[in-house]
Amino acid sequence: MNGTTLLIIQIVAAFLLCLGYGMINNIPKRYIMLASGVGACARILTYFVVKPDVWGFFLSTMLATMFITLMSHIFSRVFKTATTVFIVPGIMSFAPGGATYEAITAFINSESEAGMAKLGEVAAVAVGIALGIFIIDLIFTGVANRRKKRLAKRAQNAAVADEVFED
Amino acid sequence: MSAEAVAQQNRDVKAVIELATMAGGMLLSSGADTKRAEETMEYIMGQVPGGNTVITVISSSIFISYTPEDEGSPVSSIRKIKSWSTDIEKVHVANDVSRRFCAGEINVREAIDILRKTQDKKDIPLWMLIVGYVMVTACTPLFLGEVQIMNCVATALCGVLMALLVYAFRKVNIGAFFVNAIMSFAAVFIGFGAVLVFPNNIDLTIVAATCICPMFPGVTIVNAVRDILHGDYISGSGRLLEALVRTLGFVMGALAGSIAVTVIIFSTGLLGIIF
Repeated sequence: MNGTTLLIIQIVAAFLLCLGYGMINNIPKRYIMLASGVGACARILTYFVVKPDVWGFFLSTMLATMFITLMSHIFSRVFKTATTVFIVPGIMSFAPGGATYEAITAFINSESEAGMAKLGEVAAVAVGIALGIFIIDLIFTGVANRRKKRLAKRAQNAAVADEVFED
Repeated sequence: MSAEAVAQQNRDVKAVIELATMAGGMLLSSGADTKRAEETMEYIMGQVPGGNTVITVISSSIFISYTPEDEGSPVSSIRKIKSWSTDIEKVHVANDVSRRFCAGEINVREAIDILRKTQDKKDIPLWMLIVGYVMVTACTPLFLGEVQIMNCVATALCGVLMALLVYAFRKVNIGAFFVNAIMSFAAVFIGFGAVLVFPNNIDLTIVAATCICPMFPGVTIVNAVRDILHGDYISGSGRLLEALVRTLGFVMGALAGSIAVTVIIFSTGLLGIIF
């Protein structure tokens, strides 16, 4: 199998993987393709750009999740829906099932050091996902709160101006 | 204010509280984090003029109390969240209804009707579960190691089995721990069967690892960390514990499956030596 064929297979597989998670978690039909597209892009990003073996599991997963969350916030504002709709298929595709199973088999074979290392990998991926979502959430919440305050202040100023004008 | 007007206002307040409780409950039981549920309820209760509203949400319960401006008798509502699963369509509907209600596009009765209809909707159909699980399990091995079509075929078979088990366990309420344990045990066993049939083409580790992926409580862990980072330690630790129980479930199942497989291999080897 040559490189281009493999690349095409990986891209299609990443999309189908996220589509599958979308179906299991009952994503609304209107957004399922878009949500899967976001997840697939993040998956491709970790596979070709922020590779876990270069960047480490924590940083690689966190950057990919930040990408998913950023796109989710943008799309949720465009389509007026919850960010969760676009986040779930993407993050579920990063579930560290492989590392969990390897940790189990390592503990069965009395290789507790290898088992602990794999458990560390599971924890790094889980915390990376959560932190990636939190950082982008924090930025968007901060921007939204500032906007809300600005609008409230503007409305207050307009009310005061009206009162003065009426007097 | 006339007695009739006061009675009407009380009825409206009660309806808005019911709407807020329903929306919050639907969000919490469908996989949204605690802060989102609380915020949605605050937006809805913000439509009640005057008075003082107190809303408390933890991962398993909702409490609302509204005291009118004229210091009349307070109205309270409590709801317990008995079980939850990830259903993003319900999160979307609750979010949409709250947005439209706050924008004045629908009244409180219409909003409650929409939420009731969504709550009564049937769960995901079997065909959709099978297609979803097959897609997930067939595509995951492509990211776990060398591309081997037979691994994908074996995991797709496991996917069908898992979808059937998920569908069957919906009717029997035995808890996430046992469901995950039985599913991962079955997955490891099917994987072992596939390895016996095609010993050179299938990797048991990849098959078992793939089947564990859909059971991983990713949404619960994310919600737990989100709750903790937002300062809600009770909900966060509760959810973390829930994630731990779910993870322990599939770990125990996979462990039992692996031990059973080892025993079978050992006993067949022993039988081979004896006979």
